[in-house]
Amino acid sequence: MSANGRPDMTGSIRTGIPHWIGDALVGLALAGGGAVLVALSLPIPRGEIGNPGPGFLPLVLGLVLVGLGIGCAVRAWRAHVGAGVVLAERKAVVCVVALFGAALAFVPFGFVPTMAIFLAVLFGVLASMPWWRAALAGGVASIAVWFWFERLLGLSLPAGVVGF
Amino acid sequence: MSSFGYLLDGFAVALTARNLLLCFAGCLWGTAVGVLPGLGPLAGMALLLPLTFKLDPTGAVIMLAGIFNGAMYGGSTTSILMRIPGEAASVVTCLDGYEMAKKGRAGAALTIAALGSFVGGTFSIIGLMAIGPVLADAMLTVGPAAEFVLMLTALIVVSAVSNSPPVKTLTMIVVGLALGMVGLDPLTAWPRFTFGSLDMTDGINFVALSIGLFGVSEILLTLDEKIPVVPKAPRWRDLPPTREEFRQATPAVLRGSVIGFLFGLVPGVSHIISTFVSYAVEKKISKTPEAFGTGAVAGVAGPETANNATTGASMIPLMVLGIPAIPATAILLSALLIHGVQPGPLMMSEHPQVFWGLIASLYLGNIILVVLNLPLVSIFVTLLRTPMGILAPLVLTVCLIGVYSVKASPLDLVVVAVSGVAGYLLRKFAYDVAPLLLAFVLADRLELSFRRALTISDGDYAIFVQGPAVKVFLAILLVVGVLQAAAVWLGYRTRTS
Repeated sequence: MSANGRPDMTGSIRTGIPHWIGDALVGLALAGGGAVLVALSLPIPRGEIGNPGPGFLPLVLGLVLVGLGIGCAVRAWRAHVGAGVVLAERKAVVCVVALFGAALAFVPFGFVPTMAIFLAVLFGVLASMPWWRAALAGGVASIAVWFWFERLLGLSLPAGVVGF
Repeated sequence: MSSFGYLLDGFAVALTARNLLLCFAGCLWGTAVGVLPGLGPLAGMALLLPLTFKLDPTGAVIMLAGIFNGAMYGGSTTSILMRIPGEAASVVTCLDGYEMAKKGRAGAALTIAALGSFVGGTFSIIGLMAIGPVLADAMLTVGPAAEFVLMLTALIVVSAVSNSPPVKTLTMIVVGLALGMVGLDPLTAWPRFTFGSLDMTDGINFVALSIGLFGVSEILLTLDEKIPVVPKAPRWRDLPPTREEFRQATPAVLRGSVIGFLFGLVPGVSHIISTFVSYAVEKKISKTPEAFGTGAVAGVAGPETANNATTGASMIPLMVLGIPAIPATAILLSALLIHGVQPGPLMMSEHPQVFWGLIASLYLGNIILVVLNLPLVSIFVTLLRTPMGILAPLVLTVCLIGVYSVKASPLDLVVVAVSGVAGYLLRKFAYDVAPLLLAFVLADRLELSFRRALTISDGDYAIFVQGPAVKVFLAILLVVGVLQAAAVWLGYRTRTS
């Protein structure tokens, strides 16, 4: 998609936002992470300054992270390079979605069906295979990988719904 | 027993058929991941780390060290043939290596790189043997306060030498320390940030975090890049350098060995910096500096030697101080801890077979790589022809299997996905994620030594500036600070990057 929301010829997803805004957002996200760390550290006993408890260092680190995250964001804002950038390629986005799907389905559905779908999707998108070839390659590859790791190397992979 | 006697024992351990095979397999896999753009030593080691759990500690470390060594070697192949560094430390080799290849001297460049790597690796191993035991004895007298200052110094040095802006590197260090706080408190066993999950009481799985940050993010970043056409591999008869090329390479190799070894002792991205320094030195003292960038032999020999000389040297902070100087040694540290071996000053006396077996295997690995790299260069070039669309899904599958095989925990699979995406975004915006991993590994010990020191001193913070060891580490910190300020003042480095 291009900046105006229409697909472009390269198949990339363009955010349309300048690099510095993305950079600043990452800095703010880190500062937000620091704030969450502070909030989560407050209920943990902090002890005294000369005898710190389990909550002392996390609290200090959270506060420092808030400061550094804001520092990163300010630094990005001051750099202010205005050109738009490709934040994420279509292929990378598909890869991330497939990875999260596989991570969540790995145990409940079992190794072979999960990885067959995972590999088929990625072969189809990344290697631009026709769907039937991607599905076939995904199925064969998942069984081959299962055989290699489970049977030959003796690793225990999740059986899931189909039993292997 | 003398160091030499222990080394002979180490060779007896490393030369068993099983350990030789593990060393060979590690070198082979390491060279393959070093050759493939997008996969470096870290990803290669992280991917095979779970498979080493079934081995004894010596075998595991020998295999991982083989991968590390192999990846350092393999990175030079793509640098010379395609002007693509297989890993960051091979960037400088592109400058003259590729120019030599364009002139039809690719074979000679590969041979010089392999022989230089062999000499550099050997030099660093001798240095490791000489310095390691002495430093270990000295470290036995160090208390928790000095240990805390030492680890803090290591992290600050990492932020000073990182390629990223200091504020971003410091942020990554703090994130790494914060992630290291997850799990049971090491002193009171208070559950921190576990959200009631039993899985989380052990903390965040190092393997999942490292595979996500380096393996998965590397694959995602590589998808954005375009891989150029793969060239033909050089023929056998093109491999030997001419007498003149040998003459030019020899002094550069010797200088590169010393530079690489010295930089390998410094925590951070020493293996990368040493190559740049070596290149700068060679160019500076050359009678024909204008030849650099157009195919100068010393421009390949020096950096490639320095690159591999850091390998052995970077083992010194790990084995003697228990501090991983570079991310790859953080993975070695993790493997040792998983096998119940705590690297540090006591390692040589408590686990001599692991320590000296590793040193001997590093040496054998160097020989295996010289024998392996040159004859198999055409096979490794063929590997480059594998389309990324096929390779990436298979590598991601191995990532998931590798992480799952550690604890069979579904949570770890989510950790690898989250850390992969986080690593991808952070690296897109010039955050160096290596310090994050180093800080994560050190977090536990850092907190423990901090709180123990305060208990000993009855809450007096002056303990962190007292004692000879502490003063030495603080002096190092001061020197780093002065050098950093001088670099900014002289214009080598801007205040922000």
